[in-house]
Amino acid sequence: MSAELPTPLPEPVELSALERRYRRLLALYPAAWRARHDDEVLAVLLECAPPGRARPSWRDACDLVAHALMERLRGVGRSPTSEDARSGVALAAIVALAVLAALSLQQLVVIAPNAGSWGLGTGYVGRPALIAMLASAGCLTACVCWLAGRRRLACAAIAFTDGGFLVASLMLRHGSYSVSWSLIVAILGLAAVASLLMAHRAVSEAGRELIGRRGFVELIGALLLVAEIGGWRHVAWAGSVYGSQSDNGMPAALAVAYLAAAVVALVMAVRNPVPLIAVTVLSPLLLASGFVSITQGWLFGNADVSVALLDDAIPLGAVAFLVLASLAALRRSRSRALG
Amino acid sequence: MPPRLQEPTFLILTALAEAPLHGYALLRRVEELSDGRVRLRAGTLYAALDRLVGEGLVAVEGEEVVEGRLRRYYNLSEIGHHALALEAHRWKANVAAANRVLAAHPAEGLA
Repeated sequence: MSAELPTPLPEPVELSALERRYRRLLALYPAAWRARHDDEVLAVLLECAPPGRARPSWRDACDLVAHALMERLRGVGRSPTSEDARSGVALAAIVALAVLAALSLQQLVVIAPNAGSWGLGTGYVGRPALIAMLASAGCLTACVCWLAGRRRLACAAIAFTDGGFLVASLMLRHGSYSVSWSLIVAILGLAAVASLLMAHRAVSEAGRELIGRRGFVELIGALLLVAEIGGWRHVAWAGSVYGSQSDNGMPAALAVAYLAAAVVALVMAVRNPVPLIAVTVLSPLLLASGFVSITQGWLFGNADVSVALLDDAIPLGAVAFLVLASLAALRRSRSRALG
Repeated sequence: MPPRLQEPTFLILTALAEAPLHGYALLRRVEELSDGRVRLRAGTLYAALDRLVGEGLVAVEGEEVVEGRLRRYYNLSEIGHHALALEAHRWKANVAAANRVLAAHPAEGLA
């Protein structure tokens, strides 16, 4: 090899201090980069350092910090492949179904027994609310059918859900509970995506394969954060505005932990195109939840409780659905192994 | 038409056109080639090398351990040679054009 230039080596004591400080700066790079270059770059840095230097120069430190940041951001900006996009949309479809199923359960279990006293099915708001509840039940059916491998039936149930929400939305279109067209389009669009994906065996299986992988955890974290930041309540009661208790009873310390976990998961999510695509596809769902909160706010007589339940229903519903899906997948693999 | 090379990239490719070099030697050679104008930092150098390796302009030639430290050698690939030659040709044409224009329109007081 050529160009063997003289390498001024610092004194051993100073070297260890300098090396430690350089290593601390290099730790800012992503793990994959460090595995590739850590020792190599450290050697270059030490060779460049004048004898006796114990601390990195500020220019070197700034250079390393800036490039470490760029290296981390590069993962965010990388163009997703078609496979990433397909997996992301498939993951979104699974979570969309889970959320709608959670809402449907909430409506059927909590609201239905008291429907008579609330006037469900009668009046200007009561009728569309009943239709929306039935539509949500259709979504629950779709989830069960899809898990059971009955894709056509699942698609029919989604179509029923789609139609139910459309009718309910149109009934509320004019009046004090007016539903915006953007919400209607969001609901219909999401249901259409879910329906298309459920009809496609390859994509639905690609989505299922994501169960248990890190991508799902990241997605839930991202959703949590969007829901919480969007509602702003948990952040508010983490501070001094509401004291030590949240507006729905959650202790402030737990709220902070909840939010911190969401931030960490979101950071992981933005580095992976699959959950990022899924969150993008799912963003209309957060809008759509507003539609349900209108009717539930009326039914509960307390819109805050309804909105809090809905926000939590998003991640919790997704978790519940994926636990069920994982169990179904486990059963299938066991039966295959036995067969 | 391939994208134009930034000056540090141009100098890195020029340095590697001579011989395979490891990171430290590459930093020094770039400084020499630019008469001290361009002093790359390690972070900048490895960001550029990563990109050039990804684009196929530079290849990893080999590695060795010297005094307990890893040295990885980088070499210019055929594509890198071609890109460097193209860029040098472009600069040569630009310089010739600039000289022609300057000769035809000398600055006042210098004519």
